[in-house]
Amino acid sequence: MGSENTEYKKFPSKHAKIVGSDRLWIGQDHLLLVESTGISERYKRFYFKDIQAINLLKTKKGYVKIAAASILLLLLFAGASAFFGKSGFQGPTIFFAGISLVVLFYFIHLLIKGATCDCWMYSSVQKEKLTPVNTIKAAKKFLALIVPQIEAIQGTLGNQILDTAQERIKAKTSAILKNVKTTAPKIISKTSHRIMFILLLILGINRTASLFYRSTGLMAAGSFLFIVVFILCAVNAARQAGSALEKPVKTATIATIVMLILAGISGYLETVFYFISEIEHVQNISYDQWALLRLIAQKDPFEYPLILGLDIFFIICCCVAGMTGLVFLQTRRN
Amino acid sequence: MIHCEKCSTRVDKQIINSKSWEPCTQCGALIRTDIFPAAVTPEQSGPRPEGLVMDDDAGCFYHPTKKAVIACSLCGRFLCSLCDIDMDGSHICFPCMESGQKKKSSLSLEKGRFLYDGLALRLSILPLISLFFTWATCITAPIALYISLRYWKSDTSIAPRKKRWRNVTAMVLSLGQIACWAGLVYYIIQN
Repeated sequence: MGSENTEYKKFPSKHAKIVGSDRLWIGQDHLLLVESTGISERYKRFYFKDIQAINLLKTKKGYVKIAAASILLLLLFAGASAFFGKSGFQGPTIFFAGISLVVLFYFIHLLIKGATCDCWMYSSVQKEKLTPVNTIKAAKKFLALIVPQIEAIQGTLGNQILDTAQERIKAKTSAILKNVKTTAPKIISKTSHRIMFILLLILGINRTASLFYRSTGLMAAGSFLFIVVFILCAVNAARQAGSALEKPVKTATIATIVMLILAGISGYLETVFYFISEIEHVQNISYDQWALLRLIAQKDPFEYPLILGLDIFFIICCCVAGMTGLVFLQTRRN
Repeated sequence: MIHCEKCSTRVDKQIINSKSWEPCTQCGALIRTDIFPAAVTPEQSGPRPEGLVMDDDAGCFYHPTKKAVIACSLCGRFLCSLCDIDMDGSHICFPCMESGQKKKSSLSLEKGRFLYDGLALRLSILPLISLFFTWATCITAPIALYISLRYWKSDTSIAPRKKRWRNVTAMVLSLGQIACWAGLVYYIIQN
């Protein structure tokens, strides 16, 4: 029955899933998408004569993964450095160093892969996302392999034909579009965002200063500033939803919230750590908040590598988020 | 027509077939759209089957009043233009296509496959590397060995891949595990 084309050429990129992977195979007259779970496979075929369009969208997934991996790497290095050089059992150092190495390899792999994209293939009866085409490099290779094969069967599309087809579709859909009510996104002021990013920078400077100059007042100011920035960030995140504010500014605000939550958790752990190390004093002054703050201020973070690592991480995050946000606001205004 | 996958706005004419990444006119996301002639060719309905004109005209097996235009490549039944399915250059009827799909007689009709070699390999490896289920190898190792022997000749993936190495690895590993268990039992009996 018919010609059974078993000569497939493997497309180099694949999409790894938790269980199994998706892979593309290029046949003589069709493209085969194999969705594998390891013990079973599903096949989807796209004949070159039926392919109508290939649509690509550049995504930020790669950058997000790189950012997440770098944060994780920083935390793991901080963990490894906290236990490094201490006498006794070296298990925690080996554990942290081992995981750091794995994350480092993943980080390098992400850097090599580069920018990411999503790819869809259209035919007259279906629209399918081609998950193996997930990076810009893979998309370039994919188009270089596929487009000549499709054009060899279908020919090339002239601008005139395209114009005629677009006019035909326009005429068909204009009646429908007339009835669709479009709602313009609301325009909000950027002042509160600007204040938030400036305060974030001040918070970073405050934490840097308190690293070298231990003062109860400075620490109290930092805590207060942290709460103010967090509230402002939450308010801005609520305001910007559905607004016409630029996407990068919105993303920076959300990233700041995540960072502040992480910083809050690390600050809490830091406080608990200090209290455990000075448990006798804490029991005596637990009713006096100012005395507790003074107790923390007396501690030198340079004596505790883990605390130092968390502090440096917090400072970097504050400065990066603050600067990025301000740059985004400035460049978009221009 | 093609839409931006992010904001669902229709892709601008300037972006189509520009062979470069261009920002979407609505959301600013970078997109690239390649359209081929199949997208603009109006869909054509198949030829209408003709009725029988002469007495000696052959009728379709499924529509006796319609004129047969071709015979099925598999069963040989006469088919009208409505019943004729063009499959990779050969002409078949719908029941043959359906049975071919069930029997997996044609690669181009297969929708999926079960990979016994993959199952055997996982059965022999996964309990071994898991910290808490190593004891399960006493059950999984014989099963993996049975599967790899029983389905030694069964089809693997449609896509080309190195054949048998999964089966061989599964057999070696499961035999090793069985040998370990046998040794353990022998040791317990002896002591």
